[in-house]
Amino acid sequence: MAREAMRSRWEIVIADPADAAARLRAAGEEAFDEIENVEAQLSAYRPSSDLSRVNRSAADEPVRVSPPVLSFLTRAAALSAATDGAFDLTVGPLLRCWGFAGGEGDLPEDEAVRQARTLVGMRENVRLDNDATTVGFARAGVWLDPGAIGKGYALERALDLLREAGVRNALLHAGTSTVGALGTPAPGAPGWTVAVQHPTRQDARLTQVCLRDRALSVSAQHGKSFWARGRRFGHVLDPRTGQPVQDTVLAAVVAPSPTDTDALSTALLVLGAAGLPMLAARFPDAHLLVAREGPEGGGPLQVDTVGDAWQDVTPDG
Amino acid sequence: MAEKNDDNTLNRRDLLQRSSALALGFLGMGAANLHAQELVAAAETPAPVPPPGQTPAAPPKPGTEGGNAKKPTAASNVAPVGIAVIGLGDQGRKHLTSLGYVPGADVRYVCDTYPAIHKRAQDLAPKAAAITDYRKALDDKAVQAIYVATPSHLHREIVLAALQAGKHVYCEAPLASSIEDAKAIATAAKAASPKQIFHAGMQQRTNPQHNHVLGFVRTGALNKIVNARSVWNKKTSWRKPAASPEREQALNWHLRKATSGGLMNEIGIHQVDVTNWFLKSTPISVSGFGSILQWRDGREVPDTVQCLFEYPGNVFLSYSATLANSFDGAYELFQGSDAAIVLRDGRAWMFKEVDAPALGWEVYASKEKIGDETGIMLVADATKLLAEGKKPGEHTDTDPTRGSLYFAGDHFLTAIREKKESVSGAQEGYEANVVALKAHEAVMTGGKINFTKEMFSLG
Repeated sequence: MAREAMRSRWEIVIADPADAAARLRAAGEEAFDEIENVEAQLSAYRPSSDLSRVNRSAADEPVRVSPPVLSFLTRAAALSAATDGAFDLTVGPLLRCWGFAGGEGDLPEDEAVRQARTLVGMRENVRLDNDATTVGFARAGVWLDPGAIGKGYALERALDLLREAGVRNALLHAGTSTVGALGTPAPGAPGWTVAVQHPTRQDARLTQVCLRDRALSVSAQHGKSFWARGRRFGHVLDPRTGQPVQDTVLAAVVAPSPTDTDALSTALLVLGAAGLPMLAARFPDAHLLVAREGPEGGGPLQVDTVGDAWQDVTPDG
Repeated sequence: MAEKNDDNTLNRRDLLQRSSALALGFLGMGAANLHAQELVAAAETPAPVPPPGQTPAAPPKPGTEGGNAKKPTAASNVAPVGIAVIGLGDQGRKHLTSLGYVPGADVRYVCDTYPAIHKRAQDLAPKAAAITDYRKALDDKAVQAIYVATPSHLHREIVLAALQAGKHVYCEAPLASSIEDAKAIATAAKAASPKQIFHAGMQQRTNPQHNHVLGFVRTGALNKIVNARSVWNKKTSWRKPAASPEREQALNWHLRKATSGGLMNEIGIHQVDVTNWFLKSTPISVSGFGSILQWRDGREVPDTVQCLFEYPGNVFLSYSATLANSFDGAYELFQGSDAAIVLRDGRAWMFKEVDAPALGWEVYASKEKIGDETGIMLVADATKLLAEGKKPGEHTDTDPTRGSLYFAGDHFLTAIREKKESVSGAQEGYEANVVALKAHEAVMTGGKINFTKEMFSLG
């Protein structure tokens, strides 16, 4: 089964016995409906979504949101804190400042970066009020972008519904950035095997993982970048410094919650190998992988891992 | 007209992503968009020129028949109304989501006999207590209003008990799965009125968009109405999943003959009600057809239905619904000798005949020739929504602060506060229910059923 949502193609593969086909199909429909619900609430592209209303008005006055949106933001704030701000939903102004929001990127003035940085950081800039169910911004210009976590969160909600509906074996993926697995693809199999594509060599795999009741997220420096002052500037920005991430090309995370893996893969891409000990200590369930360019550049990648999920790691593709 | 450029830019981008099936059906006609948010502008423009032979009429006043429906409660400084929502399936949870935004909605209880669903409801209403026995909510004096969103065949007992307990009642549509139950509910509601507000969930009656369009219908913009057509198309099994066979059985009551009025009573009822309302009449007869073509999974009600309703004056409504194909989505169309009006996805368009008289407000409305084979249909934009940063006409129904259930909830709570009858009361709910159940009967028997006045009478 497949459906379009959040500008991606979502697919569910259900591996339960086919004698309950009608129930399984209904379960899949419900899971997709939930993904659409999450999109309706969180999409930054839909003017009617809770998040769009917050982005428009929360600097003027606290904006009433639905309780699930508030708990989503609470969780995002906790993940921001747990990654020392390497993952943060408020990074938008920096993206704009570097010309990556809708453009190909351009070198900004230092002052512009400094200005944009004041708008970044959930802890400093976003007030979540549980009693009033409202969200407020500390200053005008703050902007929440659920991009780095929205799909993982929708996927988690959908998996919960599949589980509640009695589905025991299924794989659900969002585009190809996050994948969540329930059970196994066949009786006796250890789990669902999922390959991580090599970031620089098409058709080659960097590693593969075997997922059982776990999720995998991959974040990579594909896509937008520009050259200036003799070096390349990628589109992944470090919310803490306001500068593009330098040498990390790919980060991958395996953990029980797809919301966590989605946020942590982004954080790890920003933190690089230096962030491994901190994230490993704070997320003991998580398996982490970071790939960066080798010393010569263009040669095999340098790959560092935490946890035993990563099979057949092949840095040279 | 700087705004206009903005409008067009926005819409071109949005609409290019969407293949508008509807547009294909209306190639080559000029379309004027009627959007509820334009009502401010419409009210400021000169009165429409009436069709020949009629005296000048006042400008269309949206919501004239919608009572307080036209004006959603703005401020949050309204008296709170204590609410219990009974039945936490899809519809109950949609109500909880909407009530989260309705001013003064104080949801105190969420109730379902199936405790495993409580958490999902409390995610939406964290301050509400979860209960399995609705009587607990009836006993609580702080609860003034009861939402009944259980399966339709289980409404009767709860509605009667709630009215007995002196509560105001919002009963989801249809009122019931049998005419007998519907009559018992509507009769009790009538008896409790005006002290207690009874609201039947005929959502369009409280929807500003529909009330806005009705203003144009009532002022004669269509001239003589000659035909109506409604469709509802969606590819979905319409089945609910559950881990246990017992739960699955309970959840899929709408797929079984004994407990369900099928697509006509559960879905078609809303569109048939719009026709009843716009034509100010119930039908004279209904012929129905239907079969199970796509979902042969043991269900007992058709997944594809067609009905032909005859209204007074030889006007017919043709209705079709299917769960096998989503092409053309859902809409309501009214054709008149001067113009046609289409209501779809919280938006509306008017298509004028070339020989129709010009309407005074027309020059102010956004218009676009729809002759493009890609099916791009431009949606007129409202200055007010643009000022809020919204794209007018977009996603109105998924916007919880502008969806049908939001307006219905706001209308119900306002009616309670102002001690005014709901515009979607016992009579309206009962009439729609009778029409829909008879239509379902016609579908199941493949025959024609004549309506009599007595059928709609509550005595």
